[in-house]
Amino acid sequence: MSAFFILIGRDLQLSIRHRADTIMVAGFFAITVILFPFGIGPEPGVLERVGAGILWVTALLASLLSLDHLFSDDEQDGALDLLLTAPVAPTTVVAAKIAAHWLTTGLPLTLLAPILGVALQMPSESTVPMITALLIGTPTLSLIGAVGAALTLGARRRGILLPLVILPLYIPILIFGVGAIDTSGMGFEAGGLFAVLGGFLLIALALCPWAAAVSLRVATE
Amino acid sequence: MSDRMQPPTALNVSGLSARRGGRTIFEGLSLSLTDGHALVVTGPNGSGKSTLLRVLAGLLRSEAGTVVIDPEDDSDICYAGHRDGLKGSLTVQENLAFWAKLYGADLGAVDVAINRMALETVLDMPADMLSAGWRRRAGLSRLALGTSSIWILDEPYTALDAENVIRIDSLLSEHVAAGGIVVLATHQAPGFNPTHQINMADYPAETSEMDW
Repeated sequence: MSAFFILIGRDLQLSIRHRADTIMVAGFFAITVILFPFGIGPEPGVLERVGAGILWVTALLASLLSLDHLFSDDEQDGALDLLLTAPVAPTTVVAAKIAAHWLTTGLPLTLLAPILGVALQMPSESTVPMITALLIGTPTLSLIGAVGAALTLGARRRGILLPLVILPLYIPILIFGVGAIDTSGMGFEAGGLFAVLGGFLLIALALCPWAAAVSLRVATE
Repeated sequence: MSDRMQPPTALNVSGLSARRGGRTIFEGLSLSLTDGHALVVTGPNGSGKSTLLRVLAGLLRSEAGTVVIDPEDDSDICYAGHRDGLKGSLTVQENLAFWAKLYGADLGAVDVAINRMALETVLDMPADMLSAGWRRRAGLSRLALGTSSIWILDEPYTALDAENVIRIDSLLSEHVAAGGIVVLATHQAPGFNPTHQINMADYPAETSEMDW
């Protein structure tokens, strides 16, 4: 079994032990989304119009919640030093941790979104585009977030610094993610918007593990 | 372990100086280790023992000088620092099994390591529940997996009782006898005869302002 899957296996094993963490992220996502119908009111048309935006913004915030722990747990108990000196490329370590982060946040959020879409009165035609957009978009969130988590590792007030570093970088994904869901919900061709989301994912896949590994090196010095 | 040891491993350091927190900790350190060498690093607090070990392990960049490891293969290093790197919510067995898989150890290596460190009674306990000494033993059991030829150990004796200090000592001397390399930072004399010894106090950083 390659080191990549061994590392993912260990992070998943840890998140099963700490399953409350994953449940809390999903719970935060669900409760925050459900607050909007209460705040905005049930007039027809309003929620339907802003639904995709609410889902995406809330997904961004929810994925931030667990980023804080992405490297800091391993840093605090010394496991990070051992991982970086182990016979594994640091990029592999980082890529595996990002994959595990997505499996425990991005994926559950994607699966939860269609149910919450009902609360937001979103049309049933936008269910498939919603899942597709989140499936392509949320891995990019984990990838970019990992760079932020590595950069802010060891910084004081990391909890506030991390969103300040990361959220501006999430804006392009937010724009195209919402656009893709809305455009297809209205019955228009949205292939181009999905392609852009896919492009972001490919760029992030190529750059982020490497950038996060370099930042980790600096942070552990 | 033995077939991994060919060709001979060498750790060559020349003119090394390192910086931490904006301050140069030590300067002009050179040493050369090869198969069967054990280096004991001593020195007062703050003299740079841990810093040197982190530089050797590749965790910290040197300010000047070089660290060359032959053959160039980072799989050969096993580093053990102040913190044991155990995951508190995993059992000792799970922790060790993870490292064994990651280091590419043989299937039986985990049992050998457990036996060497006498960890049988705590195998099913989460690492969080262990006392400091047990944690240390569980952390150091990684060494006994037998995959790395260069061991870099920072104060391994901390929190260990006399019996386990002997256990570590015999693990180290066997490794050296089998042709491995040990770099050990410690305040207490090890129970075996090191082939090399350095005192970090001999490599103080130049504090006076000099016109370079």
